[in-house]
Amino acid sequence: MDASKQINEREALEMLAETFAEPPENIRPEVERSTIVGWDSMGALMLMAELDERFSIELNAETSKKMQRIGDVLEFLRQKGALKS
Amino acid sequence: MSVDRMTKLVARAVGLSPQQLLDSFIPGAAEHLAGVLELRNTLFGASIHWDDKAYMTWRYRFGSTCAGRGDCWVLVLKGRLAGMVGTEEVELERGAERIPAWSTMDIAIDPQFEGSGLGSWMNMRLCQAAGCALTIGSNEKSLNMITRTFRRLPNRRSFVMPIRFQRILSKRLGGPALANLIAPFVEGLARLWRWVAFLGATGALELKPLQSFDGDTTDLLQRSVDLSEWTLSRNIEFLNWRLFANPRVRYAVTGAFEGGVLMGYMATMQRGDRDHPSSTVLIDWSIDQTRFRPVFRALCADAVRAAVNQGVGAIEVTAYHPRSEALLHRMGFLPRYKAYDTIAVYSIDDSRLQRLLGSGPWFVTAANTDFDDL
Repeated sequence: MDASKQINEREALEMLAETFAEPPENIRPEVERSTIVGWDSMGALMLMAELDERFSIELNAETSKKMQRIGDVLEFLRQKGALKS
Repeated sequence: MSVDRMTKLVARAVGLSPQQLLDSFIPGAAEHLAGVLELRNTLFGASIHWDDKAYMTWRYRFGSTCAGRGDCWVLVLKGRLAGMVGTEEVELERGAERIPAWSTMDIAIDPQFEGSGLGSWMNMRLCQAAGCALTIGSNEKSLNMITRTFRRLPNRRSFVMPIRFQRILSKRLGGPALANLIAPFVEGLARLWRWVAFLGATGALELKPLQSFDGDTTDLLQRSVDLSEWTLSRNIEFLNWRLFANPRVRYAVTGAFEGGVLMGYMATMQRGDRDHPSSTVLIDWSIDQTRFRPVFRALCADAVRAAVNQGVGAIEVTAYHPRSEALLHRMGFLPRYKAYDTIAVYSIDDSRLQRLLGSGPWFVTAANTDFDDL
């Protein structure tokens, strides 16, 4: 991953808040998917689009379904080298 | 997000090319019916208390020229039914303007494919194919998707006229003891209110049950159109299909006649156990514009009288019609907030969308929804 594209955790949480159309204070690593109204079918699509556009990361259906908390998305970004450790 | 962009993302997420994904989403044929019924049984089995095969083949064509007024679109991925969305072909009308549209309903996704955006994509793809689409009602899962895909109109409004008050008072007073004591007194007051509200309501009208809609109804439908309102076009074929051939629910339809001329009708259904219904629901009505107020009042009075005789706890109605709503309120129906009484439109033509959103009131009843089982 190009280092200039990498973001820190705070920036990642802001990105997810925007993606799921949620207030930033509601987006924390421990927050579960079921409690985020905007993380539905459309939210999943928005996340795929965001990761694709911003980091050229492909998110497939299986991985998307396995993400059950905000922390899972952060972990995925970390594994893909998009999140500064 | 554009539909093309969505198609690329979803196709990649499920391991297909965009064209393969597009080719996999088709109007359901007879061979898909078994899979559709199985998917619905998996997702909603506990709440399906009707013959679902009869219902689905009544509502959708499944490749034949049978009863359905729309297609059940299916998404078949690698030989497996991944999802479905139902459509009903409707026509929006206001004055001389007619807009063909699809009303979408009955969306279902195989749990294995949840979280991949398939539901949103299928909805969006149908909107694009239709050019103009309408969705009436939502649930907790679909509300957000509808909000982001369609343009929402103000919610439809629900009203209730309680007949029996024990349960309501028990909730308000924290238990049944005091409620049982007070309920007869409140019910007496409500009875007095109804007597005053509906005094002389029938007037010179003759109210009779209808067994089907015929040529008289065609005349009535022409006289019941308010040129300033958006509505979904009606004809006797639609009404007979929707209110008399529906395998899911039996409706009671009452006609109001004046000098032998049909001046209006109202369809009602009962919710709950057939022998002990919990409530009566006002589903649909069409009223001659020149006599709207007295005929609507007479039909409501008749529905309330029948409901009281049948011992139901309340009469409910969800309307999207300012004139009916004002009369319901005046007759003693109380407004009730329901988050999912949505109505939303989509149009690829922006000027048409703006006309739908901002040019006059709407007239939509529960007959334009698929919520007759609830």
